[in-house]
Amino acid sequence: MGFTIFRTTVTLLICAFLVLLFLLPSAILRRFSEEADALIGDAETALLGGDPEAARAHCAALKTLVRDRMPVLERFLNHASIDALDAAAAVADCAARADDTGAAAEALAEARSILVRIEGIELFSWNSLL
Amino acid sequence: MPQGVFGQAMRMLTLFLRAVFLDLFVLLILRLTGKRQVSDLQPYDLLMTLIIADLASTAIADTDIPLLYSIVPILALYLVQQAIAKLCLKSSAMRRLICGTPQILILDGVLQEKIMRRTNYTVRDLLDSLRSKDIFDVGEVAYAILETNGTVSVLEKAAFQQPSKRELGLEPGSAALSHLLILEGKIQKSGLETLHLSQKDVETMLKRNGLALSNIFFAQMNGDGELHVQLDRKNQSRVMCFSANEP
Repeated sequence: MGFTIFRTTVTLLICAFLVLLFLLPSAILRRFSEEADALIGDAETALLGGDPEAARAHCAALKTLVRDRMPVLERFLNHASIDALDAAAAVADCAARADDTGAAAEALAEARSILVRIEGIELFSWNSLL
Repeated sequence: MPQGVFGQAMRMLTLFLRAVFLDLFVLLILRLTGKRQVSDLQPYDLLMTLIIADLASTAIADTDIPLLYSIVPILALYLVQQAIAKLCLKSSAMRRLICGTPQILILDGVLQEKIMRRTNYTVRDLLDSLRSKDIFDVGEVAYAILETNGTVSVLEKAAFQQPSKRELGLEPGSAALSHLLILEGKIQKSGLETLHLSQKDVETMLKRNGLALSNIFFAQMNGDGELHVQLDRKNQSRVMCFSANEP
């Protein structure tokens, strides 16, 4: 009887844990994606508008954002994807500081494509399910 | 390169801790499923156990994969298994669908060729199973049933069955369980509680028979109050039996 109660309790806890896992990581990823996407957009606009100062600031902010969120993201995302995003953000930051507009834009495009790929894999969709 | 060496050690420690964590996690899940041995498993349970082992090993070996990638599918499998177990308990149709039904391989002494073909159970398999039950002649068997977990249950023909004490008109004796009282010189509290004895009772019993607790490797008491004692190696592993009630 005691074991049955224990098993039922654990099963209910597992259900609650799984529901939490279905909601929380996707919310964290969505928020991170929005923030990172906005910074990439701002940096690209600044690069195209010939404002290297703003581009440097946005690229540095992107790098900091990725570094800050890495530990949390790595709890539920494949580490290789996060590492690739971190590398792209670091390259964009370096290139922006060296005033290499082309390399910075390329790295930002790479960062955006990784972000889209992560979202495609991690967020629920019928395509990722099948 | 102390940092590199330290870094490598940390990676090994990470692998070690992931392995320990997942091992304990899988142990908990398997205990929760309530199955203790492979022979208890239905084909579906066995399949689930193998998938769980595979999922756990993936995250143990690859530190690039978050532990959740193993934990979530294992929990999902556990929940599905629990749901199926509940359904099987409530519905016999579901139980037949998931677990199958026992198949009669020998009916009234006759091998059921059609069923044996359908279940891919050969005569050699059947003879193996009978031998493992100490039956060496198929002619002694009235019924043999292939259970859903793959074991074969056998009912021998009346002429070959062991007579019971009741049939022979013998005193039945007690059918109580024996309990472990002493193991490697230490009194087992669970045994004392079940037999309603105190440590002093056991020590007195041993003293009466010239035995010291520290010399005993193993002692068990049955429902009739008989103590089966084996001394340790220093005392030539001597075995003795005496009644607890003897003066």
